[in-house]
Amino acid sequence: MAFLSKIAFRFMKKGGGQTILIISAIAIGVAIQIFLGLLIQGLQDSLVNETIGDSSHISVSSKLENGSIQDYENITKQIQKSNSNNEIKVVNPVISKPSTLQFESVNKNIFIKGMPIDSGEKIYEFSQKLLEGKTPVDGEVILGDYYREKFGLKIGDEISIFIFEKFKTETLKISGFFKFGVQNINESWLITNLDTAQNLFETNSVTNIEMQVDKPLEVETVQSNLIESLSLDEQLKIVTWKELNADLLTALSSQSLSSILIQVFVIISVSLAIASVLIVSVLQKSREIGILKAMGIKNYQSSLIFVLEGLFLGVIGAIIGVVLGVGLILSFTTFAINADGTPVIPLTFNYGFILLSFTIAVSSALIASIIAGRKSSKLNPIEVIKNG
Amino acid sequence: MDNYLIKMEKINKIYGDKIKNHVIHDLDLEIRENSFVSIIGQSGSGKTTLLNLMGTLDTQTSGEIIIDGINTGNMSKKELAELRNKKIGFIFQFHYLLNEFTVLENVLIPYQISGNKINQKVKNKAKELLELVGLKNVINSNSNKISGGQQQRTAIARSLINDPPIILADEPTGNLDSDTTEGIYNLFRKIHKELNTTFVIITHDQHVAEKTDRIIELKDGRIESDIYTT
Repeated sequence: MAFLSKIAFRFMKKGGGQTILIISAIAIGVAIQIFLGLLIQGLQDSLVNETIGDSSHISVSSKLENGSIQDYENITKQIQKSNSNNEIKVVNPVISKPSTLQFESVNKNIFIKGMPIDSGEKIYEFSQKLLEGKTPVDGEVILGDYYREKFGLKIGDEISIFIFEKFKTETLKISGFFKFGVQNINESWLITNLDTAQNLFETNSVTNIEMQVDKPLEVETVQSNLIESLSLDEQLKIVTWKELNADLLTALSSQSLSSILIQVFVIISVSLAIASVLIVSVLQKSREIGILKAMGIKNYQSSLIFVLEGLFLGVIGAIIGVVLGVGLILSFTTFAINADGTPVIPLTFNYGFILLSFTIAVSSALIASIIAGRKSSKLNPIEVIKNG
Repeated sequence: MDNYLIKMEKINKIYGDKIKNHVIHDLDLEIRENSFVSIIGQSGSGKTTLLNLMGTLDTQTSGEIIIDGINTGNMSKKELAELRNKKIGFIFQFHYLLNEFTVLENVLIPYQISGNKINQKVKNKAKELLELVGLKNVINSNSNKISGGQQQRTAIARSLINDPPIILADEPTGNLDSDTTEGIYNLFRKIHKELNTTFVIITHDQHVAEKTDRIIELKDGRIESDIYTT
């Protein structure tokens, strides 16, 4: 084996331009694959993050008509208990109910969102979204920037909330204005703490238990774990963001598919390049192989020389390709930046994917070299060692 | 004492399925240990085919070939490769050295093919062989950086590294000028004398053939004459 490797290595070394060409082909192929793969992953991650980053990934809600979860404190404890491997980052019990906001002569249908401000902060990042003021305490509320811009409301102003269920009106004080990326939220959400919301609706229950998970794309695992560990009664259901964003997922999966297709074609063309260069190399070396066979080298050994050559070329090409690909994606995220200095597409370094690209390149080099190896194995020494 | 190194009995070689080309006809041939034989004949007489059959590079259509007491008829390709590696050294018209290797490395190749690791002992042996063929000064040169005569002498040293009892040479000087040719044959003689190696040399050069101990002339795949000159 060591001897065959030596022959393969020398063949490769003396190949000169041919060796450089084939290594470049592999390197470029791997680089494109890594660049494209990481770029699309980054794109998808940022898309998913923008869509669900500041919202709940998975939520327990009631099937009942009034939508209430009575023993939410107990359920929250159970969730936290079942979360031994920290898949769930935040648990946030929420009251989310429609009502009407009244001030001056304006009536607007809105949603009251009441939640513990500290756990809510972890999901909705109020501190970053507050343009003015502070998060609400008892009797206070924050609302969208829309109301400040359009109606001139100010911090400290009092607004009336009409609760249909109880047919009553309550007064709350504005403690701040927020701005989310989604205009609909800016117009329709009124955020307050859990106690204030519970007092408004005269209840001890909540309507949802919202959660954020560590890996949003694998939210189903958390969902099934929760179904298993929470002995849920029939009145409760667990819904994931995926069930609510089917269109986005379809788009993401077709994007993944096209990315895979491009990568597959890159691999195929690189493999063909390797195979053809190695086959030419077998033809060029046919006399040497013939004499080696005359001297007693076995057919499988003569093919092993080219398989080893393919392996060397594959490994060297793939290493250069990984360096190139990572360099490309790094420079892309360094130079393609937004006005605020953040990259246009945030980089997700998926080491598994890089390793996979490396392995695929080396394996396809190996498979391609087997074609050349078979040719070498079939070579008949008396046909190549002819006088003249 | 009948000590045959190569024994061929009723050998036929036919090429082709539809159009049959009968190259060797019912040929019987025995070559004893420590002999120095030449095979002559016009082109197309079957010389190279005969040599390829002796060297197990080709297989006979019928008949038996026994090399150093081993019947090659039922051997697998793998076993034949091992047999060639141990028993037979080849020298061709073209040296077919591996350009990627030095002169010394080329000489060591058959030894490494047999699966052995290079040690100082075999290195010294290779150097001695290179000294024997007069290449002491170029052992570390690249094999494509030396002259044609030197390359052929490297190929000769290479054929000897595993101490094969038989050297088969097919027009070994066909590509060399007459002075170099003379040198190569003197070298064959020297090796034959010093190492008791049996030589079977194909040549079309009558002058060269006359220097061997036995001249076998082939014509149309049959032995036309078989003359012992000593």
